[in-house]
Amino acid sequence: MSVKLTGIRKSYGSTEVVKGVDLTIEEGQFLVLLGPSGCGKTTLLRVIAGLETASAGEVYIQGQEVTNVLPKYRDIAMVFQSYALYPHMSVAENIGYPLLMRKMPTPEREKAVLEAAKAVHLEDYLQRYPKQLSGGQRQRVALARAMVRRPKLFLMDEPLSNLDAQLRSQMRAELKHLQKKLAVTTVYVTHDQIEAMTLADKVAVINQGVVQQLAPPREIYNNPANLFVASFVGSPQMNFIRGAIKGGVFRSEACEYDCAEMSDQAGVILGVRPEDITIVDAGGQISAEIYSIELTGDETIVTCSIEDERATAQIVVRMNADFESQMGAKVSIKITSSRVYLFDKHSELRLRVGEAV
Amino acid sequence: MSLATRSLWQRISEPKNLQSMSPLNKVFTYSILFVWSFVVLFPLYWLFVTSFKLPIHVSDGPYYIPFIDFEPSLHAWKYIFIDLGQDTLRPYLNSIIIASISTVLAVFIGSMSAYALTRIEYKPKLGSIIGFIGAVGLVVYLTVAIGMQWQLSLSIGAALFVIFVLSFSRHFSRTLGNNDILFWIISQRIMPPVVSVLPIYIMFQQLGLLDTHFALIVTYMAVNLPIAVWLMRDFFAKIPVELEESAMLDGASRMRVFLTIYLPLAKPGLAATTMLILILSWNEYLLALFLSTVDAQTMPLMVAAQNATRGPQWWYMSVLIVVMIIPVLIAAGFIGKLINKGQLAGAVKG
Ligand SMILES: Nc1ncnc2c1ncn2[C@@H]1O[C@H](COP(=O)(O)OP(=O)(O)OP(=O)(O)O)[C@@H](O)[C@H]1O
Ligand SMILES: [Mg+2]
Repeated sequence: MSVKLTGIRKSYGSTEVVKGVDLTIEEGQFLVLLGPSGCGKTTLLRVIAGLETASAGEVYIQGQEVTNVLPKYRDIAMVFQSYALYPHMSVAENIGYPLLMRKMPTPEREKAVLEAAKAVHLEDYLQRYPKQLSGGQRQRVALARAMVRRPKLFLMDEPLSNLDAQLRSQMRAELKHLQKKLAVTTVYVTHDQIEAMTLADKVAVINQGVVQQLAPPREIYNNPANLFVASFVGSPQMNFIRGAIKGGVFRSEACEYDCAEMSDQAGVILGVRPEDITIVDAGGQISAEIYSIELTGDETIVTCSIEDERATAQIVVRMNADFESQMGAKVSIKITSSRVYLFDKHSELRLRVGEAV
Repeated sequence: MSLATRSLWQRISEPKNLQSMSPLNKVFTYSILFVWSFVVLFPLYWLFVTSFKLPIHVSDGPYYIPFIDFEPSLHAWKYIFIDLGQDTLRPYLNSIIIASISTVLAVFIGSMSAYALTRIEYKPKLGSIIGFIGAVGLVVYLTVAIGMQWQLSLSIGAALFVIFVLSFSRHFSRTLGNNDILFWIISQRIMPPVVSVLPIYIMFQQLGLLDTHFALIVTYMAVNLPIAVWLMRDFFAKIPVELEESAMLDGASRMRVFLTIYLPLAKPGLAATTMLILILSWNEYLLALFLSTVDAQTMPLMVAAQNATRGPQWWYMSVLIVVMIIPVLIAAGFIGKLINKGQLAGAVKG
């Protein structure tokens, strides 16, 4: 089922939370809404579900306008951020509730419930009540309740946020598999970029109620449209250096980088990811001083400080696990890839499209 | 000063544990409990022993302890159950029928309105309300003072109201909200019942429904509705709105949401409200006095009737009251079981 949003706005009182969102989600697609806390992800999801009426704009499901259609008639299953389990019903009754509402006969319903419970590894907990479950288990009940009924559209509001790392990656794989198997159009809200990268067919990066970029995850990572997307996606974060372009060279206090095709401009920010730079003995474009060294196991995260136009800034470099140096050492950092991004300081938009993919 | 009172208040109100109390404190606590139990239980005891007294024991009294102070007699019980027989049973059944049906209706309808007032936003236009009251006033004036036929005056009133709403009312753009509606509902109960008992009497007289179960059930339900709405609203407001939203996405209609989510979760509230309203209807006197005579007579009237020409017959009254207390105790036992805590635990995060 395809979903289309045109010019969606939502205000609470005088504060506008969603500021004109246009989105198209194709049949069977897995769209992830990615953004920081409070950017309006949940609100947008609720508008799609029909739980909230948009102040302006239209919602189309399967090409049909549903802006004023009751949630009940939209055939949508939603996993709430707060789980919203029915506390007076057992796990089995919770999962079976949507089927009961659809008057599915009991034997079939019990079978479907068991199947859904198995998918989230909860088959041993069917007789328990929500208050007897841990946060992660509750979340999985909510997930099972949404999956059990094969809806046309899945809406999931941070459905894995309360799980431990191992279970989370397990459930992630499970979700992805299930979504592909059932080919259910899915809108998935998260502020976890790993989830966004691994699950999504397309990612919509949202900030302050505005879609910053809508693209496949790889594209978001490799070709961020603006400073916000560049800084929000990627961990450790992209490094930024403030400077200006003059005579085909980006210059700042600590850095010089050739960009021959660019015209002169003041107020430029250069961005480069930690894996696209390396520490060398000499001949790099950035001169820096080592600030801290963290060994994570398979790699070393080196934080260096550089002189920026205003104060000292920090640059993070990903090095091999065998990298060794000491704090305070003067080093040179070399840009090893063509993935160097230039942004306008004021508009925060990309100046040049990165070459690498 | 204020600090001192606060700490005293805290000391009084904080939960206490009898095990860890100092002996002096224990003696003090138990004495207070004992005195209060006595205050509460003595009237019941007095009622019970009085039902076994002969008139002479009452007029010569006070006698406290049966078999020691006086020789108990079953004469009052015999009179009420054998001599009166049917005349006792009828009001007893009437009371049970009227109180239980009116309570169930009041709680159910009151819960539904309470649900609506918690979850649906109403915005009645002040202008339309004033227009409606004006139209009703006009209809009454035309019918009563001018003597117009009621069909005609009703049509005129309705027409004027429609014209008013369609044309003028948008100039009165002020709207009221759910809280105003709630206040209006509760204000029905603030008014003393004596004020409305005569109109109600005349209404049922005109309808030919005086002295019927129906009249009493409808009236009791109406006067107790505000209490049900008011109490249930608080219980519903505590239920997280996500539960309803989730149920609606799961395909439940509003009615299903109300019946399968809200009512079960508000069980403790339902129990408390039911109990309160049941007792109010069970003991109601004034309305029953006006609306019933023989066929629909209820127990409170029957008790009062024992204070007739021969003066108060305490022994008969005592028997009737003892008998009246029993169903309430049974109901309290059943309903009290419904009150268990922690209904909402595990519904939503944190
Ligand atoms: N009912 C409401 N009334 C007023 N403001 C609201 C309401 N619901 C949400 N908001 C505001 O709208 C903004 C967006 O809220 P929303 O819940 O959509 O954020 P979110 O992106 O889901 O954040 P999170 O990741 O923390 O869940 C927030 O600033 C929030 O305070
Ligand atoms: Mg949210």
